[in-house]
Amino acid sequence: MTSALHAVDLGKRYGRKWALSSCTLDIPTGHVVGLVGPNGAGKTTLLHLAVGLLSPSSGSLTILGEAPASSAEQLGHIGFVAQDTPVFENLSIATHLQMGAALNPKWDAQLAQQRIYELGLDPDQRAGRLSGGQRAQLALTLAIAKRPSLLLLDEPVASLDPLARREFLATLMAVVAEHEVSVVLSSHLVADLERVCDYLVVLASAHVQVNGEIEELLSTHHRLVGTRRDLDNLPDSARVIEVSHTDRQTTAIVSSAEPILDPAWSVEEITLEDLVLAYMGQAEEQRRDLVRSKGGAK
Amino acid sequence: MIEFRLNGNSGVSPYQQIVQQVRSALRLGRLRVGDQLPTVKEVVGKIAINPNTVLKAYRELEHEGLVSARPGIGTFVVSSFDETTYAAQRTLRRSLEVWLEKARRAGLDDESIEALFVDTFLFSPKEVVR
Amino acid sequence: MTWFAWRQFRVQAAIVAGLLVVVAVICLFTGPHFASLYHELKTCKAKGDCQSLRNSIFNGYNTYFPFVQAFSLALPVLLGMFWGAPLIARELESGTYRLAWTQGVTRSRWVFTKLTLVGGASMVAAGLMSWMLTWWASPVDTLNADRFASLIFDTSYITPIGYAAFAFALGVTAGVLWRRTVPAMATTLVVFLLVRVPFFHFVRPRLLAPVRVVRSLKNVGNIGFERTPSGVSFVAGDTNLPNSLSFSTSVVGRHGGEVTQQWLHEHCRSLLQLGSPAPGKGVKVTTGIRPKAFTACIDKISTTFHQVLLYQPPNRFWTFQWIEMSIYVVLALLLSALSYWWVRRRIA
Repeated sequence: MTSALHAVDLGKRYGRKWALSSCTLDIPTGHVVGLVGPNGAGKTTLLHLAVGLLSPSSGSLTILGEAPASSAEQLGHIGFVAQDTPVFENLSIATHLQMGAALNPKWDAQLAQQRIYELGLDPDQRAGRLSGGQRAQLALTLAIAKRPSLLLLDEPVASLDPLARREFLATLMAVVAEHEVSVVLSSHLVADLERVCDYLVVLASAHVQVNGEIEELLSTHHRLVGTRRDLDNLPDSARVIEVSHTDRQTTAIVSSAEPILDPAWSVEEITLEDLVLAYMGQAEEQRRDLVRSKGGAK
Repeated sequence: MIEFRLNGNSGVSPYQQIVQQVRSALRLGRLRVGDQLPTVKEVVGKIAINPNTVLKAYRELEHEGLVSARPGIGTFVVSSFDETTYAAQRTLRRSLEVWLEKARRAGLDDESIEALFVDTFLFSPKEVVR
Repeated sequence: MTWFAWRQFRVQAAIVAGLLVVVAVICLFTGPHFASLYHELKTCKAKGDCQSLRNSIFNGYNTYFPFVQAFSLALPVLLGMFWGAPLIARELESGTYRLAWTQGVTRSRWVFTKLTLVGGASMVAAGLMSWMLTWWASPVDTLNADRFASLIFDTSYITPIGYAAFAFALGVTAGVLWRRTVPAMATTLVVFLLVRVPFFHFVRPRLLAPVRVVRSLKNVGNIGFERTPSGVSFVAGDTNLPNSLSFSTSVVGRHGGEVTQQWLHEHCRSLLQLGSPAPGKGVKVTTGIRPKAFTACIDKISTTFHQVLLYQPPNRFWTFQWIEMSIYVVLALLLSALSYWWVRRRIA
């Protein structure tokens, strides 16, 4: 089974700064993947590498088994919606569809027109006059009507109002339900991802912090609450992601394949948001430590 | 047709919420036997959730014997969530468990038990003599 | 892809087409009239008639000629700025490259199609403009007999096609490197001038080794003397041979040497009331030049010196047109290849 996205030690550098570093991922097809992380974490960089808008500084990347943008055919397998959903402002919606038909061999004109109709958009309207939500829907239509195997979306709902956001995600899910499409969706809002995704990649500080099926991640990560103490007698396979102490109590988020049986701990389930925040917090702590140690060395 | 609503803050997982909403619709008579459940596409097109969540909920309902999926057509309610039927099902289940224990004590292995049951089931009269 | 490249280009093409139509209207309305005047002129007998016909022609062209020629001169760089600079820069600037380059067409094919479509259109537009101007102005050009050395060379015939190709490719390259339209437009203008002007002054006259011709000063007009702060110097006016490109003119003695102050002092003493030269300085002029002495001096100069002309003769006109156009087209191709490669490999 070909991976949707297979990265080995992938990295991208601008000057001396690494926007993405040591990224190794093997994302299977047939999922809706949430790519989450703070701004500047490397989400856009990873997506742009995946669609061939950037080329790697190190490592390798294949999309559906082929190098990104390696051929017109490969480009036909993917659909991409960039951040802020760029469209040609001076061209009408109808012209955008004509463009799609002219530039994509597998273009489904009927699907495109039907979607525009269902959305209540005027085909002769210039794209520059559309609202943010309408533009996002146009961009999604253009990506879907290509009949791709993989859809990649870069923060498509970040700047949309709640209704437009809901409608966009609903449309996206309907597409996934109807056609066999894998989706990689980046966002810095976890609440949206929770409903919609079944696979998670957390990017922070230009590195992959955690990735996997959401169901499995949630079943192997727990919150431990107990009286104030050290976390030294956990199972060997357990890893502490985040820990906080008050004078009486210790709370920790740990990942563990084996169950935590120590009765001193009260073991709770965590939500996806807790998980993401824990990993992002860990990354931020590491980054601050690095900056402080550099400062201290001076 | 039933419409699902998702409460993000309830602490109940989305697929559980769908299962529960179907069950309560059946109890209240809003869903009757023969009614079609909305397609996965219709559900996710209204509430933006992962299609697998809906599939999982429908599978669970099917496992409970409440609905049946007919490929190419849709998912239909096959058994009403009538309180009496449920009670009858509970009683029947217990009788079956007793019978299975008896069969095992008699020395029958799983295959023989299944063969005995299927054989009796196929040749039993379909109509209940009242 | 060709369809879409055209669709994006439509409005820009229409604007230039509109301008060309305006020029065409001017040419069509006035051209035949000039042509018939010229035809009459060729068959005129009386000198008075001929002169008035010539005047009609020159005056008639005065209304529109400056505008039409200026337009032809500016068109290549305008095409470079308005067709070339935004070609790729606008997509990069506005972010629409993220949409355009993720369709079912590779980036290379996208660049190639746009380059050839709009580049070709530039050459066609410039060619049409030049052809119209050449046809329309041929009566006055023929009368002026100066097509090699004047701006006619740059605005008519085939050289504008080369300039347009070059300016276009320059614009595209600037756009690719700057990734912004406005700096690319400015760069196009500046670099275009930095190439064209020196080429015009220094390179063009030297494209082929000039022909050397020696002429007796008796046949030269505009001959005489002029006062300078240090005395008097001999001047033989540059005479432009018709339809030629002058390289250099000089007055040289049969055995070398020039008409210096000393020589004038020795041989044309009677020409001027010349005092003796002050040590280290030139001769002083105390009164004006006397006519009989003037002619005598000129005769003396003519026997000792002659004029040497280095120039490109009229029969090389078309050769020079082809060479210059080809050079600019080659530059355009090199720049286009650079842009193509840069977009393919480096914008990433």
